[in-house]
Amino acid sequence: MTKSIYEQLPLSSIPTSSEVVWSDTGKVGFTHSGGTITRTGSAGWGLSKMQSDKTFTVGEGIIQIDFSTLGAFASGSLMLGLNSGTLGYYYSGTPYNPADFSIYMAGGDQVEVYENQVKKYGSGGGRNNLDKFRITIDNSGIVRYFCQPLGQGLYDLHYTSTVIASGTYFIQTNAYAGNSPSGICSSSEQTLPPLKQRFVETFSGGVLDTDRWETKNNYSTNTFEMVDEIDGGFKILNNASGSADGQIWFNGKDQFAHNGSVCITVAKAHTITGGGEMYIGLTNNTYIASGSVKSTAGIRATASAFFVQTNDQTTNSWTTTGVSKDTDWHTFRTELNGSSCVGTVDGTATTTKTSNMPISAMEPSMEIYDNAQEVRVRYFEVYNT
Amino acid sequence: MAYKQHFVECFSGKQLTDQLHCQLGGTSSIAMSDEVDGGLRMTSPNSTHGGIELNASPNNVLADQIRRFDLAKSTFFSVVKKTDILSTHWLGTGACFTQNVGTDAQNQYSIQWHESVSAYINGRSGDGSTTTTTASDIQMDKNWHGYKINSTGTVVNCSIDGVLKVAKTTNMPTGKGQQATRVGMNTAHSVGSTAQIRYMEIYND
Repeated sequence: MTKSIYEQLPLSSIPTSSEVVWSDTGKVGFTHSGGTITRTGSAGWGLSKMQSDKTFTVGEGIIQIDFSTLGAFASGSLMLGLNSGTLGYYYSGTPYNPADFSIYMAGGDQVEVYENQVKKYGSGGGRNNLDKFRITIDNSGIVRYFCQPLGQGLYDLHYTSTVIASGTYFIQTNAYAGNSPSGICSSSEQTLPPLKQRFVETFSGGVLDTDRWETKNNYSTNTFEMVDEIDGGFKILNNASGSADGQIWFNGKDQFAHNGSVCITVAKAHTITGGGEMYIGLTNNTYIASGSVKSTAGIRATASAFFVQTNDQTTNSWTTTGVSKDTDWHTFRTELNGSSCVGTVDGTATTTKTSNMPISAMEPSMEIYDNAQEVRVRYFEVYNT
Repeated sequence: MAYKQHFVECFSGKQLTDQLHCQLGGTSSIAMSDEVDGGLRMTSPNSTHGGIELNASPNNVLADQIRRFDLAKSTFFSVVKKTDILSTHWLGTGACFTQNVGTDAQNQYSIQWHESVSAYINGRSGDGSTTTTTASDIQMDKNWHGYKINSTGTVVNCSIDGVLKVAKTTNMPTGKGQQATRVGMNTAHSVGSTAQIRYMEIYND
């Protein structure tokens, strides 16, 4: 099945959610306080069932439930998910109605997906008490299961159901053990917001896409060309000396926010020696290396190291990432949130820079400075948050 | 199942990509917007039928139309803002057999703004001879909205910001079509008709 890019992108963000309001109607073997639930009474699958007060209808906004065990359910055998029809018991008891889409927090895997009591997926690995889980149903009825390891960072997609959801669902939980486990659950229904400005370039064609990019020779001539190598991407090679500088940018079309955007690139400082420099990220002007009168935020490389660089249109400054300059490919990420620029190299070495933050909208740019220096790039993505 | 035809454009860069073509009417114009989240700005002049359309075909000649999407089994998305809401102004975003999405009697599906037809955003479809409209309960405004149209052959489902608003079952489109977004006006108005678009996606289901 062809899947929409549009509908998948918002799922990478965490929407506003609220704690589940649990219903006392039909409740057996549970107590609840806010979104926190506690298993009570004797052990047994036929002795516990509870459902949310609210129901969710497919097609009326993305349905999402988040839950964690807060440690206690790690040995308590909890099933939590979305069900239709009548609230029921899980393995035994009357009425019997296991959840249509659920995650089982008791088995041997970190993530175990059960649909109508049939195990559909096991991730392997073990659960950590800090892990968080998420089930979503998009407006097309596609059901996805996620896990946020240790409760930090992005949710990883583990399994997409082969069953298309339709109609109305409620949240259902069942638990076996009576050792007073507890967990918390939140839910949200969000409509699909209008996607913000986004740009992705993979540098895989025969020539640079000059509908999008403008090449710029700042005080020099440069070679701008696709590289004829596996994973080679695109390069700028500087052919002059002194203050020579070459750049690609959008020629002044600034569509990305200085106070809410993310820039991700895969690039390498192919040849950066002596007084040479490379820059890759966002700017609103040309000749980034020269300093003032421009907003910038991105990654700078010199012959010695990689830096997070920002410019507030008065002062150009940079802070080291702690990563020494080399000639390997790296994934660079900078996020602007209004008060800081958070940069990472290959997902680690986080650097938070708060001085000289950019003050106006910007556009993607890559630049090389000084004679015989060369920078390469094979991925460039920017989006507003 | 093999991956089917799929098109995505984010309208970022110095100018419009050559993967989309712009059919200009009169002195209509397009320009990449120099503002945060601005996308591409499409401006139709303040004269009769000053329409402007983005689509996949290089020119207006019927024989040169490039159509790779199944009007009876495809899904379309766009994120569009109408920057003015005035009588005679209209906007159409969807897929169509030839061009002039939302306006002509042709196979097509679209979401349409037309102040003289309804104060609400409409779902619209045509079967080649008759094109009809069903109003949603969303009033036209000057905000960005995300539009989704899913055509199954028996129903054209139109969603606005993720919520299904129109399920249209009359005048179902068939055959091949192309992605399109069009802005213009029916009769002369003192103010030109302008819209901005920052996302367009279409794929065969």
